Amino acid sequence: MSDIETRLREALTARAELVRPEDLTRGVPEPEPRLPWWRHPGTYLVAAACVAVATVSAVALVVGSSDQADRKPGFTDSDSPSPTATAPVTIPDTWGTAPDPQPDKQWTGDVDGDGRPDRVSLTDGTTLEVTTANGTLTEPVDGGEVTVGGLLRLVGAARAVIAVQASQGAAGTVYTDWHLYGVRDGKLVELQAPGPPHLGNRESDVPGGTNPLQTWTTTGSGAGDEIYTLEYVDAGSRVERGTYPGDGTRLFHARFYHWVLHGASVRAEPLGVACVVPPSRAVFDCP
Amino acid sequence: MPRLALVPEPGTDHEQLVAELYAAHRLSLVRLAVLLVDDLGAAEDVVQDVFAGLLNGKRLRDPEAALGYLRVGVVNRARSALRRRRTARAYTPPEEVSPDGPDERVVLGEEHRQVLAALDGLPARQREVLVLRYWSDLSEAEIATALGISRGTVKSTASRALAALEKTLDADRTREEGR
Repeated sequence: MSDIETRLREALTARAELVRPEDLTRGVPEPEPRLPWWRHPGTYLVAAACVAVATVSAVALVVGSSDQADRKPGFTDSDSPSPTATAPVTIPDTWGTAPDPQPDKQWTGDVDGDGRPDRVSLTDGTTLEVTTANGTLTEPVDGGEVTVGGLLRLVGAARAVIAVQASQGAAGTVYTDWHLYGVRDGKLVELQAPGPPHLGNRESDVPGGTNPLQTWTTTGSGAGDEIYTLEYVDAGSRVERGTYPGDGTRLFHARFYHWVLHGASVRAEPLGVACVVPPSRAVFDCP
Repeated sequence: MPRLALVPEPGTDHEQLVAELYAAHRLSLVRLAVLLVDDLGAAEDVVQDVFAGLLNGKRLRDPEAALGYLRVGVVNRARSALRRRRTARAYTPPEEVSPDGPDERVVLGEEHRQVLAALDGLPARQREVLVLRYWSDLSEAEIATALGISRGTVKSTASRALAALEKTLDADRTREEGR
């Protein structure tokens, strides 16, 4: 057993043994009294669910007929974001790249939380526009080249968050920042991301063009609509070509984060450390 | 030490079996829950919910598997408790928390506190794997069953988690040495 395993085992044992039998306050749980089926709460829940499903289906049929063409697969009314994620977020299997600019693309999702789909687009190339049932909201985005990266379902968010990428700088020294927007109190506002790490990409901080920081979204990938950041934690070690898929010859340790909503801001929640061997996009267990 | 009555004796009903399981495993399950949610009250709630679910749910087909069932229940409910806690924090201003963490930890030695703080920084899945491996002493196969993941994922998750833990502790040590 390694040193870290021994330390971990001892710490866990010490913490667990702080809980003594006399600390426990609860008695044996009592069985709930059995009710006839017509008085069981579940009966009412099932009945209510049936009514709700019928109502939602009827509404969806009406709304869907006029709106179906614009919907992004996997992000519709029926799976609108919920504050309770279904599975814990872990280090992804691959890391992503910047989205291709799609200036005319419209995204659809419930951004204002009213349960109805809103349309998100860029106007003039740099102004974010959200068309809701109650009107149109706009907000300028700083940056030379602005791209909507998609609508996210962040942990802690009950409504969609808009991810926007803004790049500036010359080739080789491009600085890319990501901005997240949401509707709060009827206004389209940027959600502050104080970090660390920085919510963006940094390509010129390390001589030789190595990227020390990468941020990407997984919207539409089927992997969950998340935004991740990876941050290199070392300068890389040389590996023999062909050891890993792709032509990479340096293996970097990288710390992975995903961003979660925290009040009116977003913060990076660490997922752990794994290794990458660019240009392969795969994430490996570190040797 | 007498063997605990996990198998119902003739005439023992479901409630009696649950009561015996409760007496035999409550402490170890609360300790497991404490390692996952780091709060004794919440840990007791988790375990209580699991036993209440067992008591009011279907009868166990295989009483021998009861401990595994209870352990899975604790892990799942602890995860839900953490998620609820995290969701609640997302909508309310965070309270100032003492850097020492919950009161119970104050009596721990510095070494253990550092390890536990580093463990807290890991994602939930990694923390669960490490706790089940190094406190519950489960095998990779048992952890895979408990968490509903493959053995390979257990192995890689544990490996990443240990690496992350070690790195955090090394960084802490380097920072302290630099002072």
